[in-house]
Amino acid sequence: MNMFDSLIDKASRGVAQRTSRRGFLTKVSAALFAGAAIPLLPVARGDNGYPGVGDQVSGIDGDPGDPSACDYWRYCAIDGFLCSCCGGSAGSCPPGTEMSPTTWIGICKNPEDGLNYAISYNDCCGKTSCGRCLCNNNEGDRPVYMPYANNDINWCLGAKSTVYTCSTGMVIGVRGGDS
Amino acid sequence: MVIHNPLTRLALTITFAISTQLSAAQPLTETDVGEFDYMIHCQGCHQADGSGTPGATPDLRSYGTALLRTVEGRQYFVRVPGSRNAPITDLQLARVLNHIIDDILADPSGQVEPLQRFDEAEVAAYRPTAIDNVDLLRATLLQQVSTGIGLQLVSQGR
Repeated sequence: MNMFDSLIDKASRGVAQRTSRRGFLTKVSAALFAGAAIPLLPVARGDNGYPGVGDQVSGIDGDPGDPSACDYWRYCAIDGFLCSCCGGSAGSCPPGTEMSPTTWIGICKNPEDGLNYAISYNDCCGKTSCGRCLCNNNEGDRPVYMPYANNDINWCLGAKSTVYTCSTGMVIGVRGGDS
Repeated sequence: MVIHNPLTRLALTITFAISTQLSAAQPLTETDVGEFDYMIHCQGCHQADGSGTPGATPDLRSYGTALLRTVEGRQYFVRVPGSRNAPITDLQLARVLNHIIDDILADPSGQVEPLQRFDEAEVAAYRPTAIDNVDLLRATLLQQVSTGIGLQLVSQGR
């Protein structure tokens, strides 16, 4: 037996004398279990109040707030599930859904610059309702006899599918503070 | 195109991210007051370009120019429920209608004679009267426009 074989032989016997196979399996099992359990721990994931939804930012200068929270300034007149919490964003639909061309448009004041912005709340349509981050803010909302200013209407009526999924909030115009 | 070089991919990703940020940070220019009111009170159904929604909201561009050259057509534009009942003043409505004339119905080639714009007095004169059946009136007006019978053309130089 050459020197290399002898070295391996001694090392293997040493390991066999100091450890047990059951002990090794126990440690591996513990590691696997712990790894699976860590995501279940009640750790903080943002302060927007929705489990599993982290804080977000739009990344645009002068656009403060969290697009996944109901108090985000662009959502002052939104009624529905936030696409930001549903695989989309404040300006895009989740995969597999279609943005309805018809929509309701409200006015929200941006706290950063004090200007009034026209916000288009286009609905995303075609999948089952998202069910996450339900917001019902009604600034400027009018009764259904003024349909173009009512946010209770299913605006998916202009899309291929009228199944409502979630709502976006996009800036389309801006006026000074007196508008 | 498939990019295999990791460095090239990284460079493209960074370039895209920077360009996206720059475009997003472009300050908006203030929207014209007539266009802003059009956004709030009309655009949800009529769309920014006036194309409307097939089967629900008519395409303004298909009949707007012809109707707005007649007195009856101008009355129609002021009296349709979306205009007449909008919570805006006569002056604001005149500006909204002028946005439609200037930006939606304008002929980019400049060969068609420009439409007469609205003023507050014209809107105030037409607005108090309601329309009973909008679809029927529009169909009747369009038929009259096509035949040239029964409509009073707007006098030029108003």
